Formats: sequence, structure tokens, C-alpha cells
Amino acid sequence: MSKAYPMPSLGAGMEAGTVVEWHVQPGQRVSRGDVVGVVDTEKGAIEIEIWEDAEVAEIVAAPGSRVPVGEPLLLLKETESTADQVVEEVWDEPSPDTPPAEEPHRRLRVSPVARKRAKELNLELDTLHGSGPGGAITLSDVETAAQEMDREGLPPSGAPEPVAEQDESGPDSGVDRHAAMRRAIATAMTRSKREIPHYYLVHTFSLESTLHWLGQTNRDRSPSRRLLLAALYLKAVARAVKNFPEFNGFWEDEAFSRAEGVHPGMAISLRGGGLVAPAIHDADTRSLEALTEAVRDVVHRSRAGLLRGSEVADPTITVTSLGERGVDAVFGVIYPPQVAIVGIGSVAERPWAEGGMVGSRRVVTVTLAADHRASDGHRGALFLEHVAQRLQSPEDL
Amino acid sequence: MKTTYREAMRGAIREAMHRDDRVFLMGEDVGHYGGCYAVSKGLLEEFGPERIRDTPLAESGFVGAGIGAALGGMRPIVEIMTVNFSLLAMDQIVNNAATLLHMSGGAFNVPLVIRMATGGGRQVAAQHSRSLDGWYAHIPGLRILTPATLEDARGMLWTALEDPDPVIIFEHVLLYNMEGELAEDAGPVSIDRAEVRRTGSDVSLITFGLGVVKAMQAADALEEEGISAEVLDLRTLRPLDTDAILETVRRTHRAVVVDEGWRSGGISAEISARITEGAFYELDAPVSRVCGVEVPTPYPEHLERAALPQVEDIVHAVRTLISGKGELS
Amino acid sequence: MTEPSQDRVRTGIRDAFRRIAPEVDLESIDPSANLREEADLDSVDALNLIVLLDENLGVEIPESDYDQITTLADMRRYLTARIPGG
Repeated sequence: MSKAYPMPSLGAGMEAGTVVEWHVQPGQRVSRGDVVGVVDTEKGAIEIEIWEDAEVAEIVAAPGSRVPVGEPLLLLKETESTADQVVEEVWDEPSPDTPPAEEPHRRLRVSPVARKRAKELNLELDTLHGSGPGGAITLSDVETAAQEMDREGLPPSGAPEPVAEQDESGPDSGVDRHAAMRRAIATAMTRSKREIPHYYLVHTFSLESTLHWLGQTNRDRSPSRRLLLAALYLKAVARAVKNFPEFNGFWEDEAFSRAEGVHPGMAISLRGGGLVAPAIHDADTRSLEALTEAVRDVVHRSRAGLLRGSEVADPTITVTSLGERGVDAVFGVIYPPQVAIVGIGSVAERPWAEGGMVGSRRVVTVTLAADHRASDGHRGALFLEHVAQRLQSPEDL
Repeated sequence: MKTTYREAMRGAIREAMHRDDRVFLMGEDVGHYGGCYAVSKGLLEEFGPERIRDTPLAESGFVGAGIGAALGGMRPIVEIMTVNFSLLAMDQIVNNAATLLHMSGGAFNVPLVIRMATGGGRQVAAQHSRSLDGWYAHIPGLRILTPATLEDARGMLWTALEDPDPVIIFEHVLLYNMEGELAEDAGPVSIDRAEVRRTGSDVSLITFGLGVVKAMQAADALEEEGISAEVLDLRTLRPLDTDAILETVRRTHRAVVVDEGWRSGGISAEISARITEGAFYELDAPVSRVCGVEVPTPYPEHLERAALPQVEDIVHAVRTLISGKGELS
Repeated sequence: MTEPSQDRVRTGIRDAFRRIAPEVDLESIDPSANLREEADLDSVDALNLIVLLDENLGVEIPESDYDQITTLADMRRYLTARIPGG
């Protein structure tokens, strides 16, 4: 039994990725979580992971090939440990003659070699006319379409389309990467502002006790063991959403679905423009030390263009911090299909009234932009207050 | 030199008898009668009854005797009149000849060559028209040859005799009268590789034995319709030349497997499976098969014709595969 | 030996920057300007920089000294004074 390992969707709006390299070869055994290769997307080169124990049977997509999301990259052979389970699943499948009950649209009939060639030529299969048996798109249909494009003065066969999402530039092509990333951000943010009814809440509070604790904690620590304030923010948000699950998940198919884990995406600006928001996995249960290390690692890899697929695809809520750029507050744009983004402003020293006295305090302004379809302002306010409270007791984070 | 498949086969036996005095021929009617298909005509006179031996009508017995002779150091050629009667010798072939090397831990090999006529098309009804080549190709320990050309009829026998293990040569009954030119110095040929008999770019006709002749005719007909067919003669059904099969499919992206045997569990199924395993992403259409209809081969001429793969069946299969190209007018 | 210490500090800083912000050209940075602003370093970059300086040069900079290394010139001076064997 072999099954396909498809091109993963590494975030909303991703249509295809280009295989950069494989770290595996046919016959090699892989375990759940192994990085098997690198795929280039508008977000940079992403390391993709495998989600089951298996053996690599065949590499379907050679390095350099551009593969649409959902199309096979590898063929996997189930290893013995999973074989029994798979057999059962196979028996449960409807016979090939029975159409699946809820297939949204008919699967395009494309011969394997035609599919391969179309990929090489960068042709959209669903624009082609199929002349083969049962209307299947054949190799000659693809070749003919490519020739017609030539005649119409479009790019010659095999050349990458210079426009839109058809970017085939390699991982080294910084300019195209940058342009592609801008387009991806444009697509996601436009969709967000078009579809998501945002509401915004602002909460300013003293961070004095938090920073004091952080300073004390870090004072005697060697640099590599020091905690980052960002880790505290992430942990506070992550633990807060455990109590407010309506902010941790996705709005899909006209309904909210809760995410199982808490994987806040951390917005990281890239030098030279653009940003990514890779997930810090299970931030609610990890220690501040572990989170600091995760943040440092992910920032480094984001900028080096070496993120993993699960990091890019998994965020369940976003945390953005323009903290060191001198602005008081940031009102985020939700990254669909997520439903909330927490914005953290700069820590600033301000006059602060407390218990009838005005003094100087270091304060921070935290905002929430949330999807009104999934939650209401009242809960949003409680959530923000909860985040603030958690930050007041950093020793319990 | 103008010759026939039958004469080429006889030439091969004569050469073997001359080259190696351990070689002898035995089977039903191979001596005085000259062979049921006249392959051994004149050999008794030339080589004498010691080496051209008529046997009783007892396939299990004389195949077993051949195995014994091979074990004893001889190089027997056993002729079973037709594959249909080989069923009586199945135990000797499958249980003994094919397994002894393995079961003796490599101590005893069986350098036996069995020749048998195969196939239908002569109106001799179900019990005399079988194509069981694929059956035998199922058995590890045997090598299965299916000469389809004069060169192979002339050249495969000696190479088979040199093989230390049992080899079965299937001679299609409708090929014996095939006439053609054969080089004077034609001699032993390889029995390892398939051969492309005709190159083409649109479809691969993959076949063996009489199927090669029919595929070549089909390719001619298709050429007139503008379809370029490649013909791959497998020549050896075990071990299959998988590389050659995958290579031709990679060139043409379409495959039609032609086998007079039945498709269920047949060699055509094996070939199709290997294409899917090894060249799936080269395919531009599903693998198609033209096989014998799954009935006992009928006696009446028109029904027998309908039951066996014909040139027009191959042409039709190709047209269907390349729908839109060479459509029936 | 003062000369080699300065060289080692320069090399150590250059290597650290190559790893956290490879596109930053240290030569073109005003040594008396705020380094984090000039090189656009966020707090994560800054911590990574401190860690790398510790690894490269063996100088552990406590958080309380961060205000002594706000410029490139300050940082060089600070490190040169503390580099082991300097």
C-alpha cells in the first residue's frame, strides 16, 4: 500500500510551492515529525515535515518542480506498524465506481504524463480541453495548449510566468521572493479586511512588576539562559486563550472551529520587508525558558528563510509586537482563517496614577483585534484583562 | 536464404546435435513420423534412434525421464506435442524441474529444454488450443521463451541448452509455416532481452509469439491512419525484461498489451502492473489489453476467430486509447 | 597585548552580526549612533547578539550593562576591556 504525501498548504492563499531539495530518498524510513525536504513559497524556503511513520517509496516531485497544494510530492509506503490500520481503512473505502458522497466538483481527468508536463510548462490544467478517453487531458492537449500560448505571444514553453502567483524563482531569487511575499500578504490582508468584521479593544496597564521580576530573573543568568519579554507575552496570551477558546481557532465554512492546541503565531518582520508569523507550538504548556529558546530559534530561522511547514501552517492566533519600534499601540489585521490577533505596543515610561498617587511607571498598551463572527466584545475585554493579569504575576507563567 | 520457422527450428536442433553429443531429442512421434508439426523430419535418419527417440504417449513419464537425463549430465530436448498435453507433465515440470536446484541446496541443476507448440487458431477446439505460456511464466525456476521470428526460432535453442536450468520454448502453431529470409550464418541469440521490432512514437504494442506478427500488421494498418506504433517483442516471459517494457512506454506514453491468453491472472496483467509500478507518471492513457476472450476456445471458425486477438482488435484498442486520433470513420 | 584584543573584538562582533543580521554592513554604521536603531535589531536579535558575543569572545554582558553598549564604539570599548587574555 502506498499513499501520496501531498504539497501541504502553508498558510491561507498558498496555491503551490516549488521543491527545493529532498532530505530523503526512496527506501528510507521516516518518522512522524521528520523534516523530509524544503519547499520554496512566498514565505521563504520552508522545511516540510512528515505526519506519519512510513517508508519513502518514490519521489514524485523532483527538485525544481512547482507543485500545487494537495498534489503529491512523495509516495509513502506504510511501515509494518501502520499496515494493519491502513488495511482496515482501505476496506472501508467506497468502491471506485461509487462517487464519494460529498465531492464538491468532478475530479479533472488528466493522464499522469500530461499532469507532469503541464507542471513543467506551468499550465493550469483546468483551462485545458481534454481529448483523451472520457475527456481526459492528454500529453498532446498540454503540448497543443503550450504551442497556442507561444503563438499568442505568451511566454515560451517552460519559461516561468512573470506575473501573479506563477512565480517559479528559486530560493535565491530575493527580488522575486520579496514581490511574491508582498502579493501573499496583500492577498491575505485584503481577504481579512473584506471578509472579517474586526472589532478592536485597547488595554493599557503597568508592566512594572513584570519587568522587575524579569530583571531579577535575568540578572544572574548567562546570556543564553536569559528570558525574553516576548516569551512572557506569548505565554500570557497562550494561557489566557485556554480560558477564552473563542479566540483560538479558525472561522471556516461559516462556523468557528476551535483549535485543539494553542500555537500562537509570532509576527516577525523580515529585514528588507515582509513578515512571517510562524507558530510557537503549545505555548501554553512550555516553560518561559523553552519559549525564549523557541522564539530565538524561530526568529533566526525566519530571517534565514528556513521555517518548517508546521510552523507556517499551524498558528491558531497571532501575537504581533511592534514593541521596540516606539509606537504605543498596534491594531492588528487578523490573518485568516484565524479569528484574533493580539497587538503589543512599546513599553514606555509614563505618569501613572495609582491609589490616589501619581508616579512614574513603565506601561504597555495591549490591543485585541477579533472576528466579531466568532466572539463578542464583552468576552474580548475579559480576555484582554486576563492577559494583563497573567502578566502581573510572571512567576506563575 | 529463404526458409520457414519450422525449418529454422529444425536447423537449430541439428546444430545442437552436431555441436554437443550430450544433446538428444525425445517426444511423441518425433522420430519416424518426423514430429507432429514436422519439425524433426529427417532427423532420425541423420542422427539415429539413440538420439532421436520416440516415446510412449506418457508426458509425465518422458518429461520425468528428461529431467533424470539432465541430472545425469545429458542435454535433453524434450518435445511435448502441444502445451495442452503438458498439463499431464505439470508435476514433473513445476514440482521437479523448477525446484530441484533450490531443494538440493544448489547441488543439482536441471539443464533441460522442453519445446512445445502453443496457441489456437487451427480449429482444433478447446482442449487443443490453449495459451498457457503465462502460466508457466508464473513459476520461478523456469525460463520461458517465445520465439516469434525466424532468427529466434533458429537461435534460441542453443542458448537455452547452454542454460544450466530448465527452459521451456513455446512455438506458436501458426508460426511454423511463416516464411522469410534468414541469414546463412544465423546462430545463437540472447534469451535475456526483449526487442523492439518496429519503432513508433504514439503507442507501444507489447506482445510475444504470434502476437508479434499480429501487432506488426496492426502497426501497418495504424500507420495508414497516421498513428505510429512501436512493437515490443518480449521474447522471454520469465524473466521479463522490465527495463525494455518501461523504456518503450516512456517513449510512447501509451501501451497496449497483446496476449492470446486470458487476461485474468495472465501475463498481460503482470506486464500492465509493471508499467504502473515503474512508469505511471509517463502514461498518457490507461494501459490497455487485447487478450483471449475468457471462454474455452470455441471450435466453430467464426467463434474461434472472435475469441482470439485479431489484428483489427489491436487497431481498435489503439484507436480507443488515442481517442480523437484515427477515429473510426 | 592591546592590538590583538581589538582585532578579536572586531572579528567577534562581525561574526555575530553575520549570523543575526547578515545584510548589515558594520563598516557603514556610525560607531557613535544607537546600534539597535542603526542595525534595526529587535529584542530577540539583541539577545541573540549578546549570546553570540559571549560564545565568540567569552564576555558575559549582564543586562544591567546593556546601557553601556548602545553604540558600536561603546560595544567595542566594553568588550575590549573585558575580553579574557586581553
